[in-house]
Amino acid sequence: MNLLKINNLKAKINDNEILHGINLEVKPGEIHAIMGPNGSGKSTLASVLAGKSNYEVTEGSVEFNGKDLLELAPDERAKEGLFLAFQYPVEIPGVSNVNFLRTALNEHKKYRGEELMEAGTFLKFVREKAKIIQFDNKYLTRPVNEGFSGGEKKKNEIFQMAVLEPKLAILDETDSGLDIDALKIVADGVNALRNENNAYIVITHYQRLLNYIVPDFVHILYNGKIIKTGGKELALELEEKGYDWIINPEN
Amino acid sequence: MKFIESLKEQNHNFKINSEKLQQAESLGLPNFKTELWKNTPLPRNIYDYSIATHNSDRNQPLSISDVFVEPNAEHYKFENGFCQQLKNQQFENQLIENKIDECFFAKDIFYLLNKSIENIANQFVFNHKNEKQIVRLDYISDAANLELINLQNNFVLEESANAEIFLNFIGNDNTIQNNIFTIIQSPNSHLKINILSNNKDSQIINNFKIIINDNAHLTINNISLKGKFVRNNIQVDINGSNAEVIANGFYYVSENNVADNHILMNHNAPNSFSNQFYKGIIADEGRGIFDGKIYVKKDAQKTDAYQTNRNILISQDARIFTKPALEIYADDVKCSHGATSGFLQEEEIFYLMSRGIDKENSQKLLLKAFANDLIEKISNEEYKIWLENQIEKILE
Ligand SMILES: Nc1ncnc2c1ncn2[C@@H]1O[C@H](COP(=O)(O)OP(=O)(O)O)[C@@H](O)[C@H]1O
Ligand SMILES: [Mg+2]
Repeated sequence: MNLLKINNLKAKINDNEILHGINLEVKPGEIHAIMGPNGSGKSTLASVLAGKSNYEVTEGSVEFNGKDLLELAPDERAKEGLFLAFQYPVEIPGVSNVNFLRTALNEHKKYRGEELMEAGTFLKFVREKAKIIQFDNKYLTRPVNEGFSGGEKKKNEIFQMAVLEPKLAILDETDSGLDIDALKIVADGVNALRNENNAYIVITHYQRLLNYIVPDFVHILYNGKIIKTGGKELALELEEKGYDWIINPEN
Repeated sequence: MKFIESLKEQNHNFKINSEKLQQAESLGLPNFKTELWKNTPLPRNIYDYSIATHNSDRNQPLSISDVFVEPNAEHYKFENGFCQQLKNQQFENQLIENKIDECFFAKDIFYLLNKSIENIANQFVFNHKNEKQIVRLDYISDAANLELINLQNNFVLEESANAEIFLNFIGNDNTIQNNIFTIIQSPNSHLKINILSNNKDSQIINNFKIIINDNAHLTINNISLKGKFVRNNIQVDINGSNAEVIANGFYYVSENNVADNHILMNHNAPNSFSNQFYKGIIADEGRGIFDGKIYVKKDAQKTDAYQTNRNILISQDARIFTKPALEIYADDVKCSHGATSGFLQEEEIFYLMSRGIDKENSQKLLLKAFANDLIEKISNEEYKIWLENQIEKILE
């Protein structure tokens, strides 16, 4: 059974078609890496899946968890188990990280018909989650991402993921801006949260992350299309030879 | 204008200053060319209001449930301009007459009209040295007919006095309250003024003239959450050194209501500090007006004066007119001002939604954060929490 099935997805923004027909299938337990040069459409794909409104889907379909994903509002997608770790997380002044997350988690629980979590229990729960990625407790009470360094923002994304326990997490260049130690902590966190029921799509430029989060599949996205798919060795090959041999095979 | 006519008639107990009344009459009602009113529409049917007298018919009395109850406060209730408790203490306002007329709203018809009545002032004196005095004043207007209600209250803080004053404005839409507050702070005195409009039908015009002296500290928390028409003219004359003025303001404007704040911070003496921080949320067809000015006199060196106004519009038909201004004649000062107005950030809403919070709740969360950024400046913990709850209710 597929967790995610993208079929011939085309999307545009301001009358510019960015995605020209994406096909991708993800099963529970799998890790997919998406690589590709800047401007290929990787973040666009992630945003379209998360439901950002300024993108318009012109063709194709996306099935997630047995539902028509494109019919759902962004918050419903999240509650169905989709999570996007943003490439550029926004700062939200005045909204404390934990209050926001508790509201979010309780919305998930409401959606699933589960009992809501009260403040005390929640605090214990998030402290445990923060440990997984060695996220300093002081960031819990601060306003969401406000004044966080680039690395802290990325960690905060993974922290939120740990709390919300999605079925499918899309990590959009979570590794960029992280030093090697932070990268390892984040990767260890992701591996600790991994199980046979959830899946990851890891968008990255660099092979180095994939040493720690080992993908089952590597896809090359170029100019709005997946032009090559392989195993983890494809990432190594890219590291060595660059993208050019795939983009212009005749050279 | 019926209110002018009704003062000219003799069937009331007011002592009329006919010169002032004459001035008011010849000035006439403001129009869109009147600088202080150019963005502020007058209350409807303004021509039909007469002046409230002692014998005004009351409508069913308004409840005063939507006010903060400070348990330690001395409590006074003004009903349609009159306070039973202070019945025999109304006096003529000559006491501070000379200074008070130097204010930017002195040439305003409502001000002149009010001042043309000479025997309606009440005075509160704060003189305890080592003990904070807390007073709560509820201004209730519930006349049965269209009436303009005039009232003058003076607050005098003697040297080293410490006071907190809660001013609650509660009115029905038959009435327009036209109030003048004169406040004098002696050296080393501390004062907090909490201005609150939290009743949906209120129509209020407040004129505040505040004079503060050396080492005096003043905090104004000026909050309007509800009200059809709420206008606050506030002038603070900082006439002493090492004085500090914190002027916080928040307005939530919905339906086709108006919230208007005109502020003049006059730095007349060196080495003082002021900070104006006003935030507003405008919904529906609401209209917000913020007109704030910092004026620094030539010899007011080493002045630190700041002003910020931030607005969020949550409807396409909402309007905000913001005009921050600096006028500085001293050269060694630190002053800044800034204003922003806009809609909620789509990026922020999307971020919250992407975590599972629906659109409505995401917006609410952001608006609450926007408001709390100001409300948390209020140092009275119970009042702050009470206000946060009121705002939460309004955003529901
Ligand atoms: N708001 C926008 N308007 C027009 N074009 C855009 C907009 N946002 C992104 N693009 C274009 O879409 C393409 C894909 O961008 P993006 O998805 O961010 O690529 P990647 O994440 O792979 O670097 C780029 O060519 C970029 O210029
Ligand atoms: Mg990108």
